[in-house]
Amino acid sequence: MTDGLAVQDLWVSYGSAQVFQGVDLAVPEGLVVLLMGANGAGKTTILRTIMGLKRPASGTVSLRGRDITGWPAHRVVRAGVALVPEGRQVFPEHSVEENLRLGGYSHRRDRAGTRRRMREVFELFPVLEARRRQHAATLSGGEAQMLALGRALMSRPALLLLDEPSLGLSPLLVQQVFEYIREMNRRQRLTVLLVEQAAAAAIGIADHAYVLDAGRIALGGRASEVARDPKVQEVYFGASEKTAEVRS
Amino acid sequence: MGSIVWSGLVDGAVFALLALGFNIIFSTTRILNFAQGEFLALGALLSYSLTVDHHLPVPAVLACVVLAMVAMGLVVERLVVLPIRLSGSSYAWIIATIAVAVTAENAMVVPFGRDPVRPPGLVAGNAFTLSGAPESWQTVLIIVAALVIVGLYEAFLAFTIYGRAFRATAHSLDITELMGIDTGLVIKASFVVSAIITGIAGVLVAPVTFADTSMGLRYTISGFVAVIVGGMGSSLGALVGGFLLGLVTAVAAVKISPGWANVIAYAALGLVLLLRPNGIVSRAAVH
Amino acid sequence: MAEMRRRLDELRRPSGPQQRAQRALYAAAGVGLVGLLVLPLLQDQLQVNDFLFFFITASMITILVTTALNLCMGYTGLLSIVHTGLFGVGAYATGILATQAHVNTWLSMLLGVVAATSAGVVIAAVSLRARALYFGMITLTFDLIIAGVATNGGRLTGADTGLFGVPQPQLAGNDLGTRGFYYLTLALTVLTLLAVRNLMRSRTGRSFMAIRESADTAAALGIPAYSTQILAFAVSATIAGAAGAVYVTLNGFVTPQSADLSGALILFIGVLLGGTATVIGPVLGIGVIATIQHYMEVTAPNYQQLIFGAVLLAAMMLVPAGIVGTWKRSRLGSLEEPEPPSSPIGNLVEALPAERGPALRLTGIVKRFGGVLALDRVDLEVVTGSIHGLIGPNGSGKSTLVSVATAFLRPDEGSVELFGEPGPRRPHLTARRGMVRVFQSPHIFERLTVLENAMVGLHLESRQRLPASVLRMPSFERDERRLRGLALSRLEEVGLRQIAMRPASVLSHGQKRLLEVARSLGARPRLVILDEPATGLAAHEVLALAALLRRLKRLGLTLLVIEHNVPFVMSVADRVTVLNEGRVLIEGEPALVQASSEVREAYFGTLEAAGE
Repeated sequence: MTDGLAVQDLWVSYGSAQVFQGVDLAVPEGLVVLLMGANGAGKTTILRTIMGLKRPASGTVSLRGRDITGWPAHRVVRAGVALVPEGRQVFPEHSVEENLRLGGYSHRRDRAGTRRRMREVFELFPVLEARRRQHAATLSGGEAQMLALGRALMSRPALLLLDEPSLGLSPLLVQQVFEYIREMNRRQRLTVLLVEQAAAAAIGIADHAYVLDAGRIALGGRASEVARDPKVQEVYFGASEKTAEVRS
Repeated sequence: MGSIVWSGLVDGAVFALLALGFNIIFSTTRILNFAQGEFLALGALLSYSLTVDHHLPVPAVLACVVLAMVAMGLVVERLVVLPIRLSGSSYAWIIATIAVAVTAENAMVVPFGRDPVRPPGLVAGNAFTLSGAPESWQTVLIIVAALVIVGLYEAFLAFTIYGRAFRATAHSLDITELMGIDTGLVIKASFVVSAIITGIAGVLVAPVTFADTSMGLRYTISGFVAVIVGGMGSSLGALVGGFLLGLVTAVAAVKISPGWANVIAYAALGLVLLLRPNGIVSRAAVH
Repeated sequence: MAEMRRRLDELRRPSGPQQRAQRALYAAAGVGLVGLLVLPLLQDQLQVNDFLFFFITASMITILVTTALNLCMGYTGLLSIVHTGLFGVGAYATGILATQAHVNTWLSMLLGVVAATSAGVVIAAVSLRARALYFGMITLTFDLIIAGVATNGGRLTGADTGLFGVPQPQLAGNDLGTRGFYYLTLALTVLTLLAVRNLMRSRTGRSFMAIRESADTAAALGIPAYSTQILAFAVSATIAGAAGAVYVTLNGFVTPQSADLSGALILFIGVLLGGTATVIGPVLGIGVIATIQHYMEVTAPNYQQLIFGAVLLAAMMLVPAGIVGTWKRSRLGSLEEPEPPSSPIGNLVEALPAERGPALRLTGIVKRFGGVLALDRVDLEVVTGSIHGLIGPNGSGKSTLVSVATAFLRPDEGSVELFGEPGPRRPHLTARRGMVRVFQSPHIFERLTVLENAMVGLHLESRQRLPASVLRMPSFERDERRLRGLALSRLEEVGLRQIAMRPASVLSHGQKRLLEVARSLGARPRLVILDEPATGLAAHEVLALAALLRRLKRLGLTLLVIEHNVPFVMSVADRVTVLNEGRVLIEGEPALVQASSEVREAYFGTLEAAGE
């Protein structure tokens, strides 16, 4: 397809470890897509590869029909993709405002636009405005998550990649974060690819879902259908007759 | 005593600028550039040649030196970063920078020869006397310039978007790339800025001491001692380390002997490193 | 992938061209050595003057110092910028004793070597106290100090001009002379190279290389990093000092330039160009340099340093593995060594006595990080001889709990009991107490062979001493065979025996994981903690791993498996503990845990409800 993100037959390895073998997934324009899977299945690596932080051994990544495979990360950003990395990773010695400005680096010449974007981010996350001059290291986990999200929005992405945004957050905050993501998707027609281990909370906001298992896509389709598929339980949980056999 | 302290401060100012130059490259690449002093040597020798042999006015000399430093910075960056990337060895950085230092020093012999030279000061005349000895305006200029340059650099880091990009790159290359910043370009820029600052230090110090092609290594070691003592990653540390080293060496040279002054300085460095592995004004955690 | 497999298959069957190439190399080396021995006798026929012997002798001296640096940097991973200084200490000490104290020259040389060794020990002991980056910098400082002392030493060291008038050692009443020095240095060089080779193929040498790869992993296997690094540095200093002693008596003088940084470049080139961590590397590297030097002295003496700098940079980019390394990577050079002789071992893993009581018991563990409560009164009991699984979502505290158990972290409250006794206080004591941790990312030593990796695991089993290793005495040979036998049996246990002689870097991720288990077994553990062992493994490798764990359990080992891969854990564990947000959610048999609705919710949430 020519809209949104398309990943085709991706093979990636770290040293001798084959992280994934032949992954296909598609993120249609304007939708929220969830990528689930047990840890170690390679979810973070997929995002890093799409983003250009890692070169795939083979396969392609295309954005709106353009082949962006192997592009350096800063070029992928300018093509309209932003990544909110695992663990937030805000710049601890920069203030909240400086973090946001760095996020908007690719549009730094458009001062008016940058000011407007920052206002929008502050509207979305009022607590950031209250702390705009504070060093990012002093923020709490939830606030840092919001800063990371806001920072990603500053680059005016068409596609937003999120790596386990719920990590280390209390359940209430997790709910909030997912609501924000849904909000950004609706308001700004932002396409979202979301990687999450806490699948339960995330699936509620997803349109499509994929399940990654040991380096391959085990399942994919509409979120509601995937949620009900018994294979998902098995992948996460090993609860099936098959495991009972292996044990004896 | 006064003139000893003054000359220590003058030396220290130059050491501080070298330390700053080290810091800039270290902050973005985690490399300690053994070839740092060669920027200073080229700046000193070039300024002599342009002033005395070609009779260029001071502004033109400065402009040429800056241009030369831009070129040298870019060349050194390639000669250091490429071998490191291709070699894959964890010592690649020290071997590469040493190799560049030796190559640069010997390459400079070709145009400049081996004789020590000394250009006239950028500003003429004497400012005041201390303990009976006149101190020139040039020495005042050196100290002032060091403070101003460090101040400007800190302002650049704190107040401009490009300075923020520098600081971000120092923190994490990957995350900085995610901001759409071309970190390869940032690294090249850091080499260029470091070269310019160190080259200017060379222009400043040449009238006060003798300039020759071997001065690079001497100043590399001094600047290196200063940055380790002051603390890596901190401009304030560069100033503290530089001035401290300058004062200690100047006093030791007079009170004990010129030869032993350096040995004492090195021993002191070793001691500081053992007691405070992060330097006196420690900020960056060195992995 | 297929390409790699094909190449590995090739290695298994020694092929004609590779064997021929290796034989040719050995032949060439033999011819070269004989040639060097006979050269002085053919002096008149070949019409070479004495200067050639002098030049070769000087080159061999450089080879010695380069070998010393290679031992330090290449094999042990210690960056040293003080080797010219150690050379200088050897030279100056010899010279001062011979000229100022009028000690017999041979004795002066010996004492000069002792001086260099002592300096090496002091320098290493001091420099190792600093952080890793600064180690090299402090050695640089020492070099500057040594050169500074030499320059400012007044009458004692001859100051700037240097120390002159050093007498040659006497042989049968005459000066040793050019030929005498030639043979002396040749003998010294050959013996040193042999000694280094022997040392590196012994327990001591393996410990050096293990530290180079990963000091932490080596410590976990019982290798004390600090003292081992000092030992490596001391041996290296001895060689450099010997070179200095020969230098000063050969030339009759020494200047501060010999001890300062100007000679360091050649040493680095020699190590890098020849190939780090190879015995013959320094010979080849210096050989190339000496040839360049020889020609340049005739054509363009002023550009020597410039050329050397350029050569070094080019070498780093074009032959990063050095001459030897590039050869070994090529088709012709990649011949695998045959398996060395080993003593057969009777039973594979010794049957462990039946233990009473739990292998590991954690009671009431509380751990805070800043304001965050990572572990909230966690209890964990691992029954001896069982496989216990520890699972939980990200951030549940599994890794923290294990770090507490293995003494990497101290709990704020609670106690750790290992086989009935209070748990070890420091990480490197865990191996001696029978507890071994296999980490998630394999920490195998990539540049060692599979067999060498397994043998490092047996470090504590061996009693080899350095002199016996270097001299290859019978006690060494016996011990080495015994270790090999033990190591091979461990490899057999995990199914890696056939590829024992391959470099560990070519193994797949799963094989590396198995190798790490084999290496950990070497220390005779009773409790093995496996940290996410199934991560990154292909499906068939996960099955192999599960089978291995069951085999180990049958042999009497206790296993604690931390995992995210829940199906895998459920298939091997006898009991499972589930952590969530720092608290134990449930503990019991797998079927029970799987059926628990709380666990499902923690991991998996009310997915079905959300799906509607």
